[in-house]
Amino acid sequence: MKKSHKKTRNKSLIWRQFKKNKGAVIGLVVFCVIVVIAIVSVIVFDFEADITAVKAADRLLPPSKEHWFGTDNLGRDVFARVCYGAQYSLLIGVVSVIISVVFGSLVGAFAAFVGGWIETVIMRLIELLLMIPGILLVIMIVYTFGASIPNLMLALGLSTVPHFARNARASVLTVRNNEYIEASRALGASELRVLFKHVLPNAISPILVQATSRISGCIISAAGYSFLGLGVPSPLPEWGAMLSDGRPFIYNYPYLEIFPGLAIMITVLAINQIGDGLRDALDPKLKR
Amino acid sequence: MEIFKRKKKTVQQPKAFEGEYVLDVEDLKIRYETDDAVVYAVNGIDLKLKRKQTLGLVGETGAGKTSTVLALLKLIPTPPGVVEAKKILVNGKDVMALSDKQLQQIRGNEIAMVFQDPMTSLDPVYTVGEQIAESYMIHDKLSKKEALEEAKKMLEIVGIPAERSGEFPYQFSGGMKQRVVIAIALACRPNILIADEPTTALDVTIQLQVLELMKQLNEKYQTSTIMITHDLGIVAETCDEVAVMYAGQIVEKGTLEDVFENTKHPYTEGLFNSLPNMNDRNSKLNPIKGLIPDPTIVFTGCPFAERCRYAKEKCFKQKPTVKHLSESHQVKCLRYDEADFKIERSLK
Repeated sequence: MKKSHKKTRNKSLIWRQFKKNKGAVIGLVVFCVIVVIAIVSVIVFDFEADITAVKAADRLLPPSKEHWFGTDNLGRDVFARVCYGAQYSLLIGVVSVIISVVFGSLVGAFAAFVGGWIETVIMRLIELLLMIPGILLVIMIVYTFGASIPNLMLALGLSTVPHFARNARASVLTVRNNEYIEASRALGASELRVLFKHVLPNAISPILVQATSRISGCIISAAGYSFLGLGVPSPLPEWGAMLSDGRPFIYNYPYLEIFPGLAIMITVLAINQIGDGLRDALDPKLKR
Repeated sequence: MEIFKRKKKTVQQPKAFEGEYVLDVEDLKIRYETDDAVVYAVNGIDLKLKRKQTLGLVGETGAGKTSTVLALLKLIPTPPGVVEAKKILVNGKDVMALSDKQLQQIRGNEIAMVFQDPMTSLDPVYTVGEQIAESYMIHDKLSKKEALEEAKKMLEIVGIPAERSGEFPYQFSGGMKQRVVIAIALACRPNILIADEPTTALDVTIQLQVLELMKQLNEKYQTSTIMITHDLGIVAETCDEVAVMYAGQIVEKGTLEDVFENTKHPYTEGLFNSLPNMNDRNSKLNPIKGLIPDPTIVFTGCPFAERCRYAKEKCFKQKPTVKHLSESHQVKCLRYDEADFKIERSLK
């Protein structure tokens, strides 16, 4: 249909702008590769046999043809574990950001849209959450509910809620007073419709950019908490947990640290590049 | 069958209405209460608008024109705004007494507004078709597909090819955008159309096209219009009646002929005198001296007295009352208590 064809023009404009940034495109490609690896490794590797099974004969082998990244102190193939671990990092990064984006930006947008004392109360409460250091919040949640992936996601998500709420509020404040918002009211649109159909779509770009860069932040934090034993429980090959497991062998078997570390670094770098590209593409000053 | 019926509704004539006036406002007062001061934006005005008529609301920036029409839609932000009136009847319904839900049904359906700047009054994230369709979806409860079809028809009516309905506002020129805004406002065939300086942001050739279009559509749909402007040329071109506003009051009101040919109020005279003289290109501009008064001041006398060259001592002390000069023509000036008072313009 003609209409849908035309409508993609606006999106293709953002895409064209995004394409100009070479780093962002490379980042996107790398990110896609990581996603594919995460999906494929779930299908290819057997969790029991390839990931967690202890093979005493294969302990601490250096990288070779059979074991590309070598094996760890329990004889597990590091390559398989790194690939298999991608899903945890990606899942934790994405889900915890989704939690904080949905909750944070809805609360922030609502506060800004309603205004008055309601806004003040909501924002002060949100800032109260900001006062608690992220690591304390994680320790609290993990020690109360136990170390598991969902709890880690929840803790990470909650600790970034205030940032998203403040960003969303600022963004809605600038959109709220535009003439087209008043025009849609004059058209008879209800307040909810104005908020969801007109205010939020126009305020979304800074939130989107922030969300992208927060994903990498959450992946690093998740790895960090796992390293400290607060995150993903041990037999699971989460990258941070692998770093933690390999720590005693760092002098003689550095590849135990290098490969999971590289995996974290490449993923985070790729996502950050995508975030940069998105920011440039969505910037109204550069667009059009 | 149901759908067919609903479709028919959108292309029908304006909403049924009995009674002489589609709009009846009495003693409208609007003030904005901020922490530092109270701004008296509108100080007791009466407005009546008949079916199919066009009323021009003329005045300087800050005279309270926009506040007045926003109050008709009950869109004055409260707080800080405070709206008081004996009555604001739109289509016979008292706007002051309606619930939010009822208000939403009236807005856009019975009384619609065209905003000043077409560059900012369209939502940048939706196609123009979707934006026109929104009124059909809200008021006529059409499905998105039906609404988009109706929107295309409406685009054709305002002179934009229907194929362009899938384009975004930034792909349109200023004049085209204002056509889209007009299409949105007239989509549900409102009884009253408020045009808040609809051509101020457009250049002169486009102004003419847009005004012609509005005139044409108003005739077609029998819409009554309130035209806010500070361009007297536009008033002469489009309006049946004129109300001149100054400092939140209507100082002179009458038919186009009353106000233009038979000017009575010194302020209206000043407005005409400050137009550039096309016949004598060397003549200097002749503006009204001084500035519009501080709206935080409550006047004991006539607010225009300081700038008025006919002002006498009583003008500063006594509030002017409305004087009816004929059935249609009224003026708010104390000097007309004197039988032989005439302003210069009417002496010519």
